[in-house]
Amino acid sequence: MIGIVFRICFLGLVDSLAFWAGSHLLVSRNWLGLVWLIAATATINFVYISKRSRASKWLLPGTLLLLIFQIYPILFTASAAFSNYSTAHFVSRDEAASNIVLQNIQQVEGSPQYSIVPLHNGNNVALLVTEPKTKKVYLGSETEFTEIDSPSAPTGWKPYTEEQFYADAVQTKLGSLLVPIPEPKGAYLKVNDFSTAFAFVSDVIYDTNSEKLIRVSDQYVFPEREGAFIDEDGTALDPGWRVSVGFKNFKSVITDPLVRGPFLRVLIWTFVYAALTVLTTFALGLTLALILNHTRVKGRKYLRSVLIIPYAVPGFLSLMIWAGLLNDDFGTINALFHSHIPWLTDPVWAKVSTLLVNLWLGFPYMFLICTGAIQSIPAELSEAAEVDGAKPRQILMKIKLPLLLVTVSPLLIGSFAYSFNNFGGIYLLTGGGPPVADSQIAGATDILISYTYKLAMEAGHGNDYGLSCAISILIFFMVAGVATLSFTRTRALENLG
Amino acid sequence: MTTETISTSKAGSPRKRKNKLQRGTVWWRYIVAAITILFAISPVVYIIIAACNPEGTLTTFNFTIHSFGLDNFRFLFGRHDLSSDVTYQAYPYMLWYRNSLMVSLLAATLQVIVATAAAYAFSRLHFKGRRLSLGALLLLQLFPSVLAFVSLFLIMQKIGAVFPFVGPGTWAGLILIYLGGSLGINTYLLKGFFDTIPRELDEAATVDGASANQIFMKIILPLAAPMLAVVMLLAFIGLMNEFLFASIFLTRSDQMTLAVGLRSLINGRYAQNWGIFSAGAILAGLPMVIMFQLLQRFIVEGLAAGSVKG
Repeated sequence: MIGIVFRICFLGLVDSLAFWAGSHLLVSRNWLGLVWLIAATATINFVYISKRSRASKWLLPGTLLLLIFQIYPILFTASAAFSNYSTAHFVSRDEAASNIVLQNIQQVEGSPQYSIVPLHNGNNVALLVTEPKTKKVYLGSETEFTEIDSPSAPTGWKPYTEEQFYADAVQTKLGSLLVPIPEPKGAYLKVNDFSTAFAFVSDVIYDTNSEKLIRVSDQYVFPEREGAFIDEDGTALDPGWRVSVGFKNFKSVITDPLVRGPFLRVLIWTFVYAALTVLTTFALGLTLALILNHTRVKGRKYLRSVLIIPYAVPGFLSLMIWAGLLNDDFGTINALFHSHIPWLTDPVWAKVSTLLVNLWLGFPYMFLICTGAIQSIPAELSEAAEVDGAKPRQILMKIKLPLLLVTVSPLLIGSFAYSFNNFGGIYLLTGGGPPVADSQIAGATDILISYTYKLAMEAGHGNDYGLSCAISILIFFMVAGVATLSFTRTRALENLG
Repeated sequence: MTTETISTSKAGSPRKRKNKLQRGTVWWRYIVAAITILFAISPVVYIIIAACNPEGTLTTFNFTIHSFGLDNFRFLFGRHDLSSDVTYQAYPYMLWYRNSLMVSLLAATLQVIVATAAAYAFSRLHFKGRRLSLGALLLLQLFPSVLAFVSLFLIMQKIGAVFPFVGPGTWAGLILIYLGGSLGINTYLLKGFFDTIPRELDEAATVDGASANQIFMKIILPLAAPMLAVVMLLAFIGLMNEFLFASIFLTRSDQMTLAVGLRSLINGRYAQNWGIFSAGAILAGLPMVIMFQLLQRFIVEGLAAGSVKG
């Protein structure tokens, strides 16, 4: 009984939410979104009403989340990798065309002076326009130009005072306001000062029949290339739009010298960084585990508690703390040792610092899992070997280590994959820097994931989502390849044992 | 001593053998431990000194009782300006703290709930495509959500254009992304654990007329509660540490999490803000370190099962 009531309440909530969301999608004419919303809501209703779909009741929430936030982003990444998606190619073709049209407006020669009253209704701005010839009064906004009866502001609209008019925020709003007017054809009104406006017309028009962008003055038809209109000089007009460019992004990684050099450098360092991080942390962790896991060492529990402190401190804090300690000018370490080592500003030293800090961050983890693995090795094995006359060294090399490797190697692979994409481990310490001459984007310690982050997110060089996604896809294949290879090899190791 | 050990290992009972002391000198082991401990805790000790020294700069390490003070901590809670007699906060540190806790706790809880439901179905119910979807789930883990951060950002931007409350700059959007991100691995971990709960228990319950819901609520859930707590704890720790998505999504200062906020406080201003940052780092890190020490055993268990702390 309670179950039924609960189910009705739940479905009621879902359906009303969906209804509300659907109305929003309808208003913004997002048909694709609407289709997905209806499909999802229908599935939810079906699953929780039907008596047959027993397992789906448990699986549906996870499945929906997985579809939207894992599978769809993967497909999106794959498709963006084959496109020119970037800040310069962000909008649709129609939007790009109308944007270029508006960029090219000029004042109509001999345009009469329209007298205006600037208005606002809280959110939007509009103009009360008096036609100079007919003296008719219109209300003009971004989208409409309608005649009104009385020469005063219609209800809901308030005129700006002259003082308000010259405020910065209002100036930007009114400065970008273009009111479409019927005569001359294709013209807009643009505010001139507090009480006047002039007619502007664009030299460029978008012909909706032929779907071409044309410059009126010399009838020049803009050709298109890779999602952008091209002018006579061959330069692409901004903004462009999103088109598929095939393998161009992947090709540029191999052939474009501006991309290839930095990419190769970053790629090599990523492998070096991930491999060395795993190796050094494992070596230190294992050594410590072997040394301290000895029955005559007293207070092992307390030693362990202290040794795992670096692992217990949240990683982002440790990285920022180390960034401060290693700071060249004011850094504690240089001051403490009276040294002038450019820890984070010299390409080689920065790499050393990165490895050192990641060793500090990671060795307790390896220490913990190695201790666990050693303790799980049955004591009988080493004792039997001892009876047979094996030396401690031999027991270690021939019995303990091979058994330990079988247990921890999946975790080592996991650790490698984690380091390979350890964005914070690099970005919070060095920011990927110091800069290197061959690239404005990739620094000396950048790994692939921080490189893609900079390509896509950091302002100042036109965010290149397409290339960034292409590199993400490449990272995926590399990590997947390494993982598959090592898992098959460790399985072979287990079979041997 | 040496001969004694050998003789016991030859003739002693298994119980005696377990308790025997290993051979060999020990003192050098303490030295190695001491050196490593020095390496491990000196940054932490240094941060504590810097935080308790109001004049603290990056290069201060003379720690005397005269230089002790808690001004850096006071600054984080709001500073009293004497000239205008108002308390103002230069950085909304407490807000960052609250945001971090809220986002991580909510996301970790929801993650565990959704993953538990799915893991139960995979472990106990028979349905078509069970093996196939399990395999697909594992395969998906090869493409971590970090790799799709650009797509997730662009997708959320699109969703945000229609529904601003889940777009960039909102917690809801960030939580949704966190939810999707580690669902697969948690489901897998929990499924493995549910498999170890004897099937005889639910079979007996089925005979007695219990439904799938009842078996889940009355048998599986109570038995799995400790494991659920461990998974949730690890998810919580991981989310407290998350930087990439939080930094892309939360750009307004009052919305930031600790990771993003503290970075905005310190980045490029190491010299000025070091003391305050140290105090903030201690307040943020101490609870985590204490929790880690108290729950060490469970965390190590979770690590052995394959989770990696962020």
